[in-house]
Amino acid sequence: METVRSILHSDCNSFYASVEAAEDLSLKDKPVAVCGDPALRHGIILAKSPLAKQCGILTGEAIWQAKQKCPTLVLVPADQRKYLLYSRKMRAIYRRYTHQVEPYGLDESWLDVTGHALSGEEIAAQIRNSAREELGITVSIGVSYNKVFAKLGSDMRKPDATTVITPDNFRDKVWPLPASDLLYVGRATRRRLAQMALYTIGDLACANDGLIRAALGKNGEMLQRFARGEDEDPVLCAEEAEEIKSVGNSTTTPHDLRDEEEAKAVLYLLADSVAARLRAHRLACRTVSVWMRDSQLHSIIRQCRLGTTSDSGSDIARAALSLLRAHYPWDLPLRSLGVSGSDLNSTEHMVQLPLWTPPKALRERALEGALDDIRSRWGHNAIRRGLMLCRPATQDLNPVDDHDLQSLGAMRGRG
Amino acid sequence: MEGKTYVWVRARTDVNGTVTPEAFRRGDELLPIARVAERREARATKQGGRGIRYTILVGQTRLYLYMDEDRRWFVEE
Repeated sequence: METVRSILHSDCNSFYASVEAAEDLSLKDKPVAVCGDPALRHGIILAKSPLAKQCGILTGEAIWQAKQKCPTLVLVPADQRKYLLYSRKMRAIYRRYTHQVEPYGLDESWLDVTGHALSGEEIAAQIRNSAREELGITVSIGVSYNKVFAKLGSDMRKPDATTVITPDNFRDKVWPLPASDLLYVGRATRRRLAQMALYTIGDLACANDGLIRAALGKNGEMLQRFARGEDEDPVLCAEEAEEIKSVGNSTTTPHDLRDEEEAKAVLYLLADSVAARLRAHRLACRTVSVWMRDSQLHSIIRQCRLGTTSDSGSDIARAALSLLRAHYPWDLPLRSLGVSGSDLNSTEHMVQLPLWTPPKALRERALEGALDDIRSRWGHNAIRRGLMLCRPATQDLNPVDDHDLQSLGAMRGRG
Repeated sequence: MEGKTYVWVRARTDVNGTVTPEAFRRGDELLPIARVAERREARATKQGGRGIRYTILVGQTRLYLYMDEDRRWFVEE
């Protein structure tokens, strides 16, 4: 008989705000929001406690808006070091049960505990207890036989709860949920499904296969399999998952970008930094993605393949710019931009040279090597592209040091 | 007043890197730790924070002594 897998998805409830409250218990019964730095216009709400949520505070809104809704709101600046520590401690707890721990951001992880002497539900109870006792935070855990349902389960009851989804009960528990609760169903897919009068996960599961394939292609087939509980995706070990798959940088500019010229300067800045990091890891990318977030905080990601793998800032910037040209409609100004390179190859042992490398490309390579050298000695802003000098929007940006917190969730497709 | 008080601690580190506190200072007094009854990761329950919590015996009294991430020792009053 085929063994049914036992998979847990653990989600730390209101992670950033909970960590702050665990570090300072006086915050426990107050509405708390973690925010970025207002001076750099990162002054938006990045995370909120359940009490702040009750006051109607939304992630992504400006601090002044939040303060208007809830004058007693306690604002805490984001402290990435603290969150990393708690995240690491959480993973150490998971590893008491299995080495198959696949992190999804700082605050979520999948665990495969198939074959463990304890049941998935018992392990979930122990993990929740350890999180409370050792770290002072709570987690919600979904227990199921595949990753997608485990994730759904962790979302169903919060905080500090376990939800078990089995092959016997998933039709009752999962199918009535809105389709948008399913992993990878974003705004656009939800709209397409709604146009076909498919509103719940059950609707999607029971829909005609051909219809879904015609409307949503391969992606649709995958979603339909998920809805039916036919997800075979394995839980990766942390080491496998942490192997570098992409290198990216994103930033929120000091003022909104109104046209392509302004955006171009920021894209070059980001592309240069991505390229420098690729070179530092001796990697080159074949695919370039651009993340564009407008002033209403809606974001889209578009990607394209390069003609050849590259670790050159100019190549990446040119690809990024053409993506922006092709896909950003400019009906709203841009608030944030991100560039990343994926589909990575090591440049350690080989460089795939085209038969004839144009002299210009060789010159660019040499130039970028020189840039790396200067920046490693005197800092990122010691030398800049001329393009940046006439663009005040880029003056205060240092993409290398700018580890944007809001982009973590956004780049993961949560907007 | 309730709060976290950082304290001076004399500790022993064995070959495996396990740290065991032997005495700590409170005011002018150096208090010897008779025994470490338990050593575990735990949150500090009164003011917040977390660390490795040592349940120690000082004379007849059981106390919690914490070592935080920066290897600073504290007690909760």
